[in-house]
Amino acid sequence: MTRWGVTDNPEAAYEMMDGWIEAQPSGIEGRRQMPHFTMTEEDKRGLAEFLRWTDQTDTLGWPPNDAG
Amino acid sequence: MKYQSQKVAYAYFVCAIALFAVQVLGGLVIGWIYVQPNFLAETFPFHIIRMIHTNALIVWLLLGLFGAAYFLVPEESEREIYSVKLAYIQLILLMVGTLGAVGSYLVGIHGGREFLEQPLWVKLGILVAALIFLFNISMTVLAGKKTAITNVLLTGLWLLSLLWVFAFINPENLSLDKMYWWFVVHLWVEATWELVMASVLAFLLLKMTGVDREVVEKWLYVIVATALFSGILGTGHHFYWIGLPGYWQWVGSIFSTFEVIPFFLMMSFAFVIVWKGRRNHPNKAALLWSLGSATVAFFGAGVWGFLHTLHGVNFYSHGTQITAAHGHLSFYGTYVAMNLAIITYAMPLLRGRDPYTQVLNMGSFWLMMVGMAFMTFTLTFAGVIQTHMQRVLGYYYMEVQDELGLFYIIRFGAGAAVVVGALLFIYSIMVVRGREVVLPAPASSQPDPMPGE
Repeated sequence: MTRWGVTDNPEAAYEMMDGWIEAQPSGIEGRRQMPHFTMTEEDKRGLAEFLRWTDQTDTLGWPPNDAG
Repeated sequence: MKYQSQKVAYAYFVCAIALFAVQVLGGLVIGWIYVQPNFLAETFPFHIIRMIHTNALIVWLLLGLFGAAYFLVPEESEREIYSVKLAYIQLILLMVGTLGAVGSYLVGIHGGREFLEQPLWVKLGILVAALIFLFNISMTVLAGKKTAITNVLLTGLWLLSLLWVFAFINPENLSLDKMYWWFVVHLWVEATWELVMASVLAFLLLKMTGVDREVVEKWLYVIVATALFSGILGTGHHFYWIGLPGYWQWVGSIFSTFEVIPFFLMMSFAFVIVWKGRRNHPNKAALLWSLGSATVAFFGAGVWGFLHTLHGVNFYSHGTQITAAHGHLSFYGTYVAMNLAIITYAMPLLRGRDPYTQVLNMGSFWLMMVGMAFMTFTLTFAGVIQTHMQRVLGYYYMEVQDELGLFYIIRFGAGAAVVVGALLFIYSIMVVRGREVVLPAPASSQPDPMPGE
C-alpha cells in the first residue's frame, strides 16, 4: 500500500487491489503464475483494507526501501 | 534393552522415520518448484507441500523425542513405564492427528498461521496427547530413580507442552499475534527443545563412553543454564520489525548473541566426553551421529544464527534466503541429527540385534551431512545476493528471484543428496542384512594419549 501510495485512501487502495487481482495470471515467461481468483467486490475491499491496516504497524523503519 | 516397556519406543521411531521420509520427499518437490515454478501448480501448489514439509518435520521430531523419552526414562529411572497402553494411545492420537492434518491440507483446509496451520481438532488432539505423555512419563520418573538427565528431559518436555497453549491464542492485534506465535516457535526450538536435546545427548554419551555420571551431569547443568539464560530473552530477535518497542532490538541482539554458548558447550561436551571415554562401544554409527549432531548444531544454530541475529544486520537480511540457510542447517544439526543418533543407538537394542548395517548408516551420515552443508552454503550465497539486490539496491522481489535461478538448481542437487542419504538411513535401520558389526580395535593396555601430548 505504501509502494502504491494509497495508505490513506481506501477507494484508491481498492482500485489498485481490484486491478491487480483481475490482471492475474500475469503471463510473464518463466515465473510462477498466480491463478485468477474470482472474488466479490466485498472480498477485494476487505483485502485492501486489511493491508492498509497492517501497513499502519510501526515497524521501526523496516523494510529499508520500497522493494520490501 | 533392560525393560520390556522400552519396546514402546520402537513404534514411535518407526512412525517418526515414516514421516521423515514424507518430509524429505516433500522438500525435494518444493526444491524443484524453485527451479520450475509452475510444477504441480494446479494440483498441489507450493504452499501446500511446504506445509507438509514443515509440519511433517516438527511432528516426526516430536515423535522421535517422545520415543527417546520412552526409551531412556526406564533405564534412568530403573523401572517400567507407568502405562504402556497410554503410550500407544498417545501415539495413535498423534498419528491420526497428523494424517488428518495432511489430508485436510491436501483438500485446502488449513489455518493461516505459519507452522501452526493445523485444524483446531488436530491442535486439541496434540494437546491431549501431550498431556497423556506428561502424565505417563512423570508417573514413571516419580516412582523411580531421579537423575539429572530425566530432570532436564522432563523440564524441557513440560515447558514445551505448556507453550503449545499459545497455539490456541490468536489475538486480534497483529503484533501481539506474532509475539504469541514466537512464544511457541522460538521458545520451542531455541529453549525447551534444547533441554531435551541436551539430555538425550548426555544419555547417549553416558551409555557409549562410560564416563562418570557426575562429569556428564555437571556439563548438562551448565548447558541447560546457558540455554535458558540466552534463549528466553533471545526471543527478542524476532521482535525487531513486528511493531514492538525499539528496546527489543538491544535485548534481542545481546541475548541471542549468547545463544551461541549452549551450542558451543554441547559440541565441546560431546568431544571432551568421547576423548575421556575408555569404553569402546560397538555402535560406532550412533557415536558418529552424536558427535555430528553436536557439531552441526553449533554451526547451523550457533554460527548461522549469529550471522543474521544482530538488528543492524537483520534490518537488511530479514526474511531472505539467509534465513532459509540457517533454518535448514540448524534444524538438521540439532533435532534431526540428534533424533537419528538416538534411533541409531536404540534400534539395534529394541530389535535385539547387534548394531547392524552400520557401514550403510555411516554412509548415509556423510551423504546427508555433505548435502545439508552444500545446501546451506548455496542458500547463504543466494541470500547475500538477494540482500544486496533487494534491500540495498532496491530491485523488486521477483526481479531478484530471476537472478537466483542457478543457486536454486544447485540447491536442488544438494537436496537430492540429502534425500538419498535419508532413504539409505531408513534402509540401514529398517532392513537387516545379516549380522554386521564394526569390530572395535583391541583395547590398549596403556591410556590413550591425551590431546596435546
